[in-house]
Amino acid sequence: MSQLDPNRIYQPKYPVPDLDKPPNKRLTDMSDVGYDVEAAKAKARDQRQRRLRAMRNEGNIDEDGEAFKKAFDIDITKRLLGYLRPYLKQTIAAVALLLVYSAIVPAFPFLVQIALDRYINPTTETFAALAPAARYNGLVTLVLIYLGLRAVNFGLRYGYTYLVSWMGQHVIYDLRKEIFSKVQRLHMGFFDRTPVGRLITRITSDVDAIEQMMRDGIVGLIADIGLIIGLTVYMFSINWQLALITLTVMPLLFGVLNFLRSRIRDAYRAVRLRASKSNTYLQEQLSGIKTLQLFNRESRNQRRFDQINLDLLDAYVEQVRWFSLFFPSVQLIGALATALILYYGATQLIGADAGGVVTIGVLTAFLQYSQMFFRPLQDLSDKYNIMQAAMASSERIFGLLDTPEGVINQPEPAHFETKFKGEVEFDNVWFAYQKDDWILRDLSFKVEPGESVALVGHTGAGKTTIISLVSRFYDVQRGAVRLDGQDVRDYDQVELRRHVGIVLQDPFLFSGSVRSNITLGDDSIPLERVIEAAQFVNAHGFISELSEGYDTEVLERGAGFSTGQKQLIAFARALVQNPDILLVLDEATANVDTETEALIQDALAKLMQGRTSIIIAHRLSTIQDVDRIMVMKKGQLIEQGSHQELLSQDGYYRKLYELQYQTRPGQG
Amino acid sequence: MLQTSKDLFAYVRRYPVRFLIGLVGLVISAFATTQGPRIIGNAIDAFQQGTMTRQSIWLYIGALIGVIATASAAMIIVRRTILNASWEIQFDIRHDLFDHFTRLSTHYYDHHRVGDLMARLTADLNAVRLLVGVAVFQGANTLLLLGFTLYRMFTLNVTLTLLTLLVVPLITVSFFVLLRIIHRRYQRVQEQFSDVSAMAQENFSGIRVVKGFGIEDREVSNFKRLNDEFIRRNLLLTRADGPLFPLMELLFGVALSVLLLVGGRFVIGLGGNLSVGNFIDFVLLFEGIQWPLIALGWIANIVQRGDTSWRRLREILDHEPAIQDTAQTNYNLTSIRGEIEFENVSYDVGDTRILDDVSFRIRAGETLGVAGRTGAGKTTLVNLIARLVEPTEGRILIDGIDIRHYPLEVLRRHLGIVPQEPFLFSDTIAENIAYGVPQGDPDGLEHQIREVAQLVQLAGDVEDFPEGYQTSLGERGVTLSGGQRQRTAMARAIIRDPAVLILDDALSAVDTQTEARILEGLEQVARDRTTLIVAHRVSAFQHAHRIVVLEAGRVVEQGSHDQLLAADGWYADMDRRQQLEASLESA
Repeated sequence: MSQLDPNRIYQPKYPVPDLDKPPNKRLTDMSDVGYDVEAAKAKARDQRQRRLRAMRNEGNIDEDGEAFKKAFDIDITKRLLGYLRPYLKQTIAAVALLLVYSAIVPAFPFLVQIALDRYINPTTETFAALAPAARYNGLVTLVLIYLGLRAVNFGLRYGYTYLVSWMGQHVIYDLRKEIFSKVQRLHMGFFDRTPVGRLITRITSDVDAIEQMMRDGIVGLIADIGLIIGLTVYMFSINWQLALITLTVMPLLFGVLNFLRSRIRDAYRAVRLRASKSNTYLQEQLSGIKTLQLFNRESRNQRRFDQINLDLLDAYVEQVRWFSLFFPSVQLIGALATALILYYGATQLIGADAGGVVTIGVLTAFLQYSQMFFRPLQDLSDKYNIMQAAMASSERIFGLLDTPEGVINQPEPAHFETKFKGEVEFDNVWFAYQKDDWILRDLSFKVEPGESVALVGHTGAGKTTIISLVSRFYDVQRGAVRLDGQDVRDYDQVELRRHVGIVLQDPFLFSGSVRSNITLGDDSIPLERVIEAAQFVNAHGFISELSEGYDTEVLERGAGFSTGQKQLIAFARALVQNPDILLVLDEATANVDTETEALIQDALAKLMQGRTSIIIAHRLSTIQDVDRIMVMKKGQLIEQGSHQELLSQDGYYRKLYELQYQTRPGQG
Repeated sequence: MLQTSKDLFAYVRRYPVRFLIGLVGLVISAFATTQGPRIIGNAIDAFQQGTMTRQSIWLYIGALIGVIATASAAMIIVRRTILNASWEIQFDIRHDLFDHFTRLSTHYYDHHRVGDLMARLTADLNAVRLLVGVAVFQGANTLLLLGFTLYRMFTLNVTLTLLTLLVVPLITVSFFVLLRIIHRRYQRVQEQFSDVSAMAQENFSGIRVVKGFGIEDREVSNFKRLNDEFIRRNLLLTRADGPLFPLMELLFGVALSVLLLVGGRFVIGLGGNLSVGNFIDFVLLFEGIQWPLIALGWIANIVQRGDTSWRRLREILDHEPAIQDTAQTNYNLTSIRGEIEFENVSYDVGDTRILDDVSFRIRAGETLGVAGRTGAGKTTLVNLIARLVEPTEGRILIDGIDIRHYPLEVLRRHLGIVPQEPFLFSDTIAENIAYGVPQGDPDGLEHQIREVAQLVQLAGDVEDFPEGYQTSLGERGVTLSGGQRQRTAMARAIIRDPAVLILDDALSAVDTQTEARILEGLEQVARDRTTLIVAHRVSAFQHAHRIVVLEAGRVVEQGSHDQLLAADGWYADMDRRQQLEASLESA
């Protein structure tokens, strides 16, 4: 022990800066005293031009660091379209409605043209000769047709919108179900490797991306193409010269919009990338806020957060910069088209003796057609982005759907009579979770029907693995695990597990009631049996004290229940299935009060009676109750026998026992 | 609402020039936009009357391009000023929120989940940004455009204007009402969606139970049932948002029909008088306000949501930090020698007493061991010294002065705490170790990092990493073992050269041999500073001058290692068991 010098005065290595400041100002700013956010913003503003230029090539990767996919992949598209097959009728109906709608839309300016040229401002002798009242009557008829078509189009548009949405919903419904079912069949090793969050993304946002493609991408594209064809036909049939003139500005519009689009898209990707960076940073800081405060990082991290957000601000500014040009460009090119139409109209009208091909009605109609033509071109690349996102999502989803299931049934699984006798045998079993990292090494043992066995040993000795193998959560690499003399791989795995009750270390509770947590949603189990099971495992006491007894809602992940109570519920859950073989991963928790502890021990003893049981035991009483104790070390069985036999051997077990189970002196 | 806008206005006021320029730009743009139809109308009248010549047509075309170019240019400026200002405001609010987050105390975070706070910072902040940016810009634009258009329409023909306007309230109101229904149904879809994803989440997390009990089929059918409802609600939503745009189309069609009928009648010369050019001017004007009329309903929604969101953000900003510097704080206290005294300290959480009348004293430079089982209150003791929590009763003195008198930052600046489950940041190992030391002199710092890494037996591990000390931790880098994390955290605390070093069960995940080597190195460090070692293992206390044993929040034993062994209590018992364990491990 070092000698203490009472006169020593601690000399800090880092001097504390000037502290003469009012409360709530940052003091020991870790050399960051001079930080001023306004100055930082001003500086960022000054350098923005340079920073924006540097930003432009940043957006070629997505948040996961993957390069962007192309917007169209023939194999993926084919497979996706396959999901539409069950809804072929609806699909055809939707497209049909859509096309009729697109054919009617260009009729409206045409009707206005007729109204102008015939009735309002007649250009031909025939109509000019009519009395004003007669012309007005003609106008009324025309307006009624106009209104009728509007009503029809309302129905058509609503109809196809609904159908398309219906289709999209059903496709993603099928996809979600398929993904979910697939996940149920995947082997346990898959879950050891794959974070739950990733699976959730597949079934939520990836599926959503596909729905958006079905709804806006594909259908939107069909609608746009239909409209463009319809408009072209109308325009050329009214006046082909004006139609050509109107079309001359389209390449210009298309070019300008495409340029702006690519700039906006780059900026948008930078926005997404940087926003996700900002959120990730914030999330981490909030999670580690205690560390931040204890280490006086407030100012420095604020500065860093600000810097990240200034970068994000750059991206927003870049986005606004190009986006602000978008609609004005459309407007200006629109004005150009109008000017061209006017000019051509003027050359035709001036000295109208030429025959009056261009009338005021025609001019008005073309002013509207040029505007209508602009619209589909405006959002063409939105659709490109949607398609691109959907392709990437589809690829990920199909990747999951194509994952091999790993642990699979035989083509014709062996049948067993309604119950297992309960003989468990490990025959020269070798097992590793990862290649060559052997957890079980040539392990052999046999458990007789009705026998109870406790596994003891240090962490990593292979106890949990043994239990997982009996349930066939994994397949062994060498050797065999047998139930009633038959390899577990020969049985139907679901049926096998229904007869092997398992109590897990983490007694996972689902949302729902206490009752449904015991029955696991099997409504065929009557309440009496649930109560009976709960009584048997000593869970009835605390359950009946709950506000609504067995119908009490379980909060998220069983919050509100103690660890001991959750374990008792897990016991009841295993018992209600009346399993032929019982596997228990017993958690020795320091957090269980003595009373509950006694209840758990008692329940466990009762559960084991007359049933083949393999238990990972941490409790002395459990160990004394079993028929046989198997001591594991590094994947091998090193000692076995009854408690007394093993104690008298004075081997590994005895030391383990003394360490873990001996009661403390002074506490009896 | 008024209060809200006043608070928010404080942010808006930081950008007076931009908003002013933006508003002027909007006036110019709206005025110019409404002149376009007039020029076209006049041109048509000129055709009609035969006064148009090949020369005068250029006048009209020039004027048309001129006003549209003016309107476009003004709109570019408007977007760049107002929208950029709204992004800057978002930055400002985010800055202020982060600043506030760093001040809020542990208690606050115990009651607010990070996920919820994140949602505020993303969704709510976005809603507020839309309010100060898009709503201001579109709102002003819409009103100005409507104003100018109506003025021009009335000048053209009062009767026609009044008749056309009959349809307008119908458009705005129906859009607003539909949006509300849609919003409600959308929320019901979202609720069901969270149920669907919650079920998936639960199933995937509890897959061992699902497979262990062979209930896959039942889970699939439950999932199907949730999705059935999801689809039902979605189609219900479609029934509301499906007709939205078709209905707008229809209503505008009706308005245009009225225009055609009445306007046409006037042009024909029945019951009124209107030139054909003015008529087309009128039609074009009306088409120009279609979008603004719809937008009114949309803007009203943005304002509503932005207002709610801003209230929620205010809730955070208005939350007073439970622990902060007060009027009592003495800013002349700048250093700490390291004498710590607990004076009858009790600490409650709700009705539960965590610490009960704890008193002890550590002299400056002394090493104190704190023993006790899980839940005995050891970590609370550490949190009290760091002022992460405040005692319910009693007080804590450092160098004889109540810790509440120290500026919070001075106090923490002199502490080096190693928690049991250390939080490391997804940054390089070097960054994580140097987390709590000032920047500057990178060479010296690098040297120090290596030195402390050596001391806590981390250097060897780091050498095996792909990029040594520059290796990143977390998702994009290496994952450290529990022991490595603890050793990194220890290096992080020691490199600060703190007056008080606190190890809160910091070696629990380290094996015994490494522990021994660390403790050996630690002795050098502990020699000239106050050290507090909280541990389960007796071996960790070998260099402690004194040991305090806590049980259920009370000090039950206190003394040197030898004294406590002689007392043959809890401590002596624990010592015996651990001796045995050591012999077992070597067996």
